[in-house]
Amino acid sequence: MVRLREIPRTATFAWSPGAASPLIATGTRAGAVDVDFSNKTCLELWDLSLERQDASEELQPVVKIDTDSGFNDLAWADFDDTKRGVIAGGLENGSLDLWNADKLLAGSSDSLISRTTEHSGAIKALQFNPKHSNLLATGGAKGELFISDLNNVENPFRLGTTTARTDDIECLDWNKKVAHILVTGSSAGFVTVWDVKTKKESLTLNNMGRKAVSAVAWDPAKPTKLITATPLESDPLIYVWDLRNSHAPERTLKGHESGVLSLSWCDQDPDLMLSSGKDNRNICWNPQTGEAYGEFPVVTNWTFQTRWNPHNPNFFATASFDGRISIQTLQNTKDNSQAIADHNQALDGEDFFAKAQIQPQVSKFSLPKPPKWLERPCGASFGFGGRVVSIGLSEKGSRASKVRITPFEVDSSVGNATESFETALKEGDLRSLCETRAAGASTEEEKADWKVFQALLSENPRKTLVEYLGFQDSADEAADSLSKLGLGKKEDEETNGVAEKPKSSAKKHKRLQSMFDATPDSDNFLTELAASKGAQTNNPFQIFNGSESPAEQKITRALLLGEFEKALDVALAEDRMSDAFMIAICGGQKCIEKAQEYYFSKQTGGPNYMRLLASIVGKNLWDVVHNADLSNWKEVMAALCTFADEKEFPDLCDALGDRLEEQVRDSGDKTARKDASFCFLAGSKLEKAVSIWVEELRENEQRGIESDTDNSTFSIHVRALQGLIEKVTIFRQVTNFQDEEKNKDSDWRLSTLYEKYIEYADVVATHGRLQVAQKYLDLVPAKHPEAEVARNRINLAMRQAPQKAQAASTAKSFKPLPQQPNIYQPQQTFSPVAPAIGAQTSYAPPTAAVPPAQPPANAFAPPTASQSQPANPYASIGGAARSGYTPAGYQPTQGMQAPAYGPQSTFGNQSAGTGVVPPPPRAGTQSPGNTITTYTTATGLDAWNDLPEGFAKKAPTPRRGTPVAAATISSPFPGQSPPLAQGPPPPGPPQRAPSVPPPPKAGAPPRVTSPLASSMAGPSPPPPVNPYASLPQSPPTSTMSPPASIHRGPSPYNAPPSVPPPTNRYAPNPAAQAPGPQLQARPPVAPPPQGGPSPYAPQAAAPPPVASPYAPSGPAVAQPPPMGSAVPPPPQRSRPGTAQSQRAAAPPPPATPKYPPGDRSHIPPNAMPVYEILSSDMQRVKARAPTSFKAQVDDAERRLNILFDHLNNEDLIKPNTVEDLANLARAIQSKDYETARVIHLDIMTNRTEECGNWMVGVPF
Amino acid sequence: MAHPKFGTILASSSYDGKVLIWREQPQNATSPASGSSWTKVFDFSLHTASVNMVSWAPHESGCLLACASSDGHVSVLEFRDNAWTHQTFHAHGMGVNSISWAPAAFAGSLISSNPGPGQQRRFVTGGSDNLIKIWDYSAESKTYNLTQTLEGHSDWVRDVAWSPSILSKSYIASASQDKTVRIWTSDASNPGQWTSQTLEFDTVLWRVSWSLSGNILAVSGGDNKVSLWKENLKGQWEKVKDIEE
Repeated sequence: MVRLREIPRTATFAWSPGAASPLIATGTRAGAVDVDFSNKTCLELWDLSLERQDASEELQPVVKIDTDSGFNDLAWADFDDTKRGVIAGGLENGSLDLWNADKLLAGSSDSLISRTTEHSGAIKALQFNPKHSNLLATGGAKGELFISDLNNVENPFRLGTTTARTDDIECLDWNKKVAHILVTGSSAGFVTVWDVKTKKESLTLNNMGRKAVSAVAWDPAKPTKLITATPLESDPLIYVWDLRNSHAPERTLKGHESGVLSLSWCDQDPDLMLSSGKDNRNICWNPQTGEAYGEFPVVTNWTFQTRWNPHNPNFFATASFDGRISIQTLQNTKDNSQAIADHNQALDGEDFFAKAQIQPQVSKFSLPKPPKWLERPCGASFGFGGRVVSIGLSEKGSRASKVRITPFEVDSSVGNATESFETALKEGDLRSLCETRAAGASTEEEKADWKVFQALLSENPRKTLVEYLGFQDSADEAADSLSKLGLGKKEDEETNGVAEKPKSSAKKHKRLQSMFDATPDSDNFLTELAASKGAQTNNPFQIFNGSESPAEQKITRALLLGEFEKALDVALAEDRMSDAFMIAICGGQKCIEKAQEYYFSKQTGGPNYMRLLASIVGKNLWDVVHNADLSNWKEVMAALCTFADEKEFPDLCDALGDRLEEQVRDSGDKTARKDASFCFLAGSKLEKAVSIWVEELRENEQRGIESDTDNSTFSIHVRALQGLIEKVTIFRQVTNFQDEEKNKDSDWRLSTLYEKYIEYADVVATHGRLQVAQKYLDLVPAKHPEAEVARNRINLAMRQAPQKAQAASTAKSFKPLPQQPNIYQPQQTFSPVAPAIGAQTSYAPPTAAVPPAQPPANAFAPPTASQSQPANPYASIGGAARSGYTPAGYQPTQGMQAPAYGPQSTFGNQSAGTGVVPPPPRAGTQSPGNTITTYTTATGLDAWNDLPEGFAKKAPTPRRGTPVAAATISSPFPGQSPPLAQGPPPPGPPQRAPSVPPPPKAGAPPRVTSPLASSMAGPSPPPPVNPYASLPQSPPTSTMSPPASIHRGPSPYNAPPSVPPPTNRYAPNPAAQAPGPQLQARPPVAPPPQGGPSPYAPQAAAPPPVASPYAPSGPAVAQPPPMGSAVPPPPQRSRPGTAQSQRAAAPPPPATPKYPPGDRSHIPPNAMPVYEILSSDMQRVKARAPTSFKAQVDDAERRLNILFDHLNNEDLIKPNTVEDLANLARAIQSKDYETARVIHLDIMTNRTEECGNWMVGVPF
Repeated sequence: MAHPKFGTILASSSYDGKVLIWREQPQNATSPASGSSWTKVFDFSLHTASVNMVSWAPHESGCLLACASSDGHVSVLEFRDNAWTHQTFHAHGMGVNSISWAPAAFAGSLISSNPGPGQQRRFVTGGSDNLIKIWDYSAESKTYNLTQTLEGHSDWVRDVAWSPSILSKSYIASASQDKTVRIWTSDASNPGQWTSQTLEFDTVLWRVSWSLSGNILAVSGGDNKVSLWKENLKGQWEKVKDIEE
């Protein structure tokens, strides 16, 4: 508890009723002496002002009224139309005084409503009926009990007989549920239940041997339960009664050390009850269980009254004979030593009484469970993506609750609009979309925009634009006027062919050019010139007729000499323009230009068309754009469409639009805005158009709000927004707009648009269209802070659903995914820490890069080096991996190695161990020259995997990201690099011919793994440093880089689903192994985690005739254990628990195989059938398999080789497994595939630890 | 739950006066089956009574958590520079029942051509004194100051909710024990002026919640029912639907 306030009185008190801020009324306690020994008695009201924060200030009464006598009890209730109700005081002298609280507070003198003196002795207790607050029960000396009706105060009626009793009624309480039931307790130990209706006693309790009763209280919820308290020092007990059995109390509460004086049962929570007594204590109980929750600070004298605040039971007050009433909180979660200190300071040394006080201890107090009034029974809240989550009690009265999630669309039309638009977009039917929109447009501006889009969509946008401008209509004044200008003749000639046609065809198809052409005054000088040029005329002339002026003569002379320029100069000097032009035309382009220039400069004061012509001719339309009167903007625009240079066109339009916009701003004329937007549209100036649209959006919205009444402002806003987004989207499509600023960090020109996108995405997301939202967010630059936030949120929201979808779609390859949802979560979480992630992503690179750097660490470093040699061990890997495949491909290699090594996991970070691995001997074993491919690990692999370096390099491209990563040395987790090395390359060269040939097969399926490539590229020839360098052949180092993983970048946000790693078609296989048709041969190094039935199993089975399609997958599975932790290839991730963890946990010690790979001479007899049958089968399949399955066949073969190696070495495989294998082989031989599969399954499921990559290789 | 941009963190408050902040720790990627684990990253126990509600501020304002306690105080915890700081101040003497942040942008800033002064840190509280109070952060004094008191309810204000949408008006909904929900609106043009409309119910009301956008109000009452409301253009609130069991 926290002591909030203290009233320095020895007084009985009552809380004000109701929800208003609480007041306390106090009446001087009868029989108490105050600190001054004054015998004055009074009624006072106190405002607790709990809104004030400082509790230290001593409270002052807000009202004080003197009374005739001291009080034994006070009651306060709402009444009628009073605001603060009525206060009733039971006085020692037997009178019942009633005050109007409002008037008291107002200080008016007539606050006393009434004073009745029905009681012959002191009134000891009184209470208003909780349901009918006009009824007041008063009990007092000599057993007198009256019920007063405030509406008729003068005539109370008496309960019980009038025969005088010797005992006093000390306490009474109205039943809280049954309004006419009242209980009284007397000093003689009678607990009497009265029925006020019948005015009779209905029951009397024998209070455990007539013990005096100091307090009674009804259960606030159960009408038959009540508690009584005894004030006896010897028997400080509280009894809990259920009147259904009134013989004995149901429960006795023991806790007080001396007589109990007061009880208060909380109305809001029947589990709470307060008591106080002569032991100066104040205890809180659960009367239902009898548990004492705790006690409040002990004071220094009897606590004779305690009361819950009737409205806010967080508070209660307790009055004690040490001169104060303290108002406390029910709860205090901490020791408040500060409060104690304050108290000590407040001690007044001169005060006799104060000195006597011992400071209360302030202690922690908290209920073991929240009180009922704080328990929220229900609630609802909106969530992201259009959901409402609500909780509610599952059934009334119980505490159990239920959670419901209900989808909800604020405005279903939003969702529909979005959807239909997206569909239309997908179908690509932009034109009809524009038409619909134009038809449905509510404003001219809207319509205009859509029409423009339509125009832009046409095959010849510019022409259509001109048409749109209205120039196709001869009635159009603008056109007319323009045509009257009669210019453009020259251009007409240029565009002659085009111009003529439309003109002649039909009026409505006239284009601008034709318009010009059709001008009535076609006697344009240019035309004339052109016409006359070189033409025979009927007007012969003499060169010199003698009448020439000197200038003419000069000209003539110059002409005769072919000096056109000179002639031109003379003519110009003489201002003979027409002559000059004529001469210029003959004189060639240069002369013409000169003449034009001169002419235009001279004509500045001339007709406007001349200026236009000047611009057109000069190919400089800027003048027109900048200086033409805006009322003629259409004409200008037309001119632009017609003449503007392709490159300049957008900027010209832009400039024109700017001017129009400026005008809008200056004049407030909105119509020009449409025009401006037209210009921007024509000029493909998205950002400008957007800003206009945004403005329109606001206006539309405003208009919508004004005109519409049925919708919410939101719907209107969203509709407007939808319109905007549609326009922008279409526009982008139409103009093929490429946002060049997507990589910028700030200052985007399109930032307004981005904001709209974000808002739209938000709205759409709210309507549950997460994909759409995502799409629009993707149009916003990555660095946009808000978009980033929104995007992440959507990704998070989408991560589950999409995954499933994906899984479904890519079921074959991807199965593992669905199981993984959990896995992904962690990644998404922000912890960059997760090594796993890092590893995956960046893994590839390390391999390549690292080795050189950390030779010691990397056992395999050498391999890298070795790569430099043509024969790349890695190449093979790469090959496998390529195309999506990578991971699988990759792993396979390792897997193979593993077999060779057997159990040992080589790898790992433990470089040291690994180092051992690459046994030089193998080098020897392998036939192929060292230089070339060492086939290292994968026997079979090489066959198709080995690619020339060059090839490998190229390959990378296909793979996303990965290659790059590989190339870059800086891997975030360099440390992890070690894993790569899975050192122990199985030595044995594969028996199969195919396998052996390390030579890169160019022809080989282009599945190149980029990682390899990179690695190869990097390291130069084996550095001396490298211990392994010497063993080039031990290419084992598989670069483990799981390429796939890369895609899912490190960013926590990348929802994995979105990036289904192209990689693994085969990825699934790992899982598949288990199920798979494969045999088990030897304990693969990497114990494939085969979780039970892999989704793949079926697939495996399916492709019977052909080499097992899955073969490749097998290898994937068998990742070398070490890698587990660091490099988990994507598939594995999915089953995090299994494979990786195991491997990580216990990397088997490296073991060297007894025999080199490829050696088949040591196969034990019992395994012989396995070898024979399977290898022959393999040959058969190989022969028959279509080329398209070559990869699979090869892979299967490779795997079989692994198996054989194991058999040969008699390692890894237990005899009984071999037995099974033999059976399996026989079954296969006899074409009993059913049996074979059964056996296979059995092996897979029961001996997972043994079967590894080779298992997959068993063809089905 | 805070905005994901701060990580997956969750604040809880309880009757014991404590506010705990939890963070989800990504589990080892290798064992997703075990799910994620939550670790307690902060334990705030300066309130002396039940903490009835905690609320994360709009993410634009930073990582801020406001807590409403029955001890009459409101505290605002802030995570910045890798540490939690707090401010505690007295709000409703009778106890604070609820708290809700205003959107970070001012109402109307989206559609007005003259955006307001940028972001705001402001929230509303509802208390057992039947009042609703609006608090603003003052960057100068670094404190939260009472800027407005809304009176109208005649009983405890159990919940308040500030609409996250920033259209032309600000909306605050309050649910009260007096069996009414009040929707307080303030026009952007007249920021200090709040007027309220009253929705009457048959039962005490416990929670109000706005949709993330679109101003749909969900009201949940003591009768275990949830109803959704929206405002039509005449400014009247109408029930959209009841969410049935």
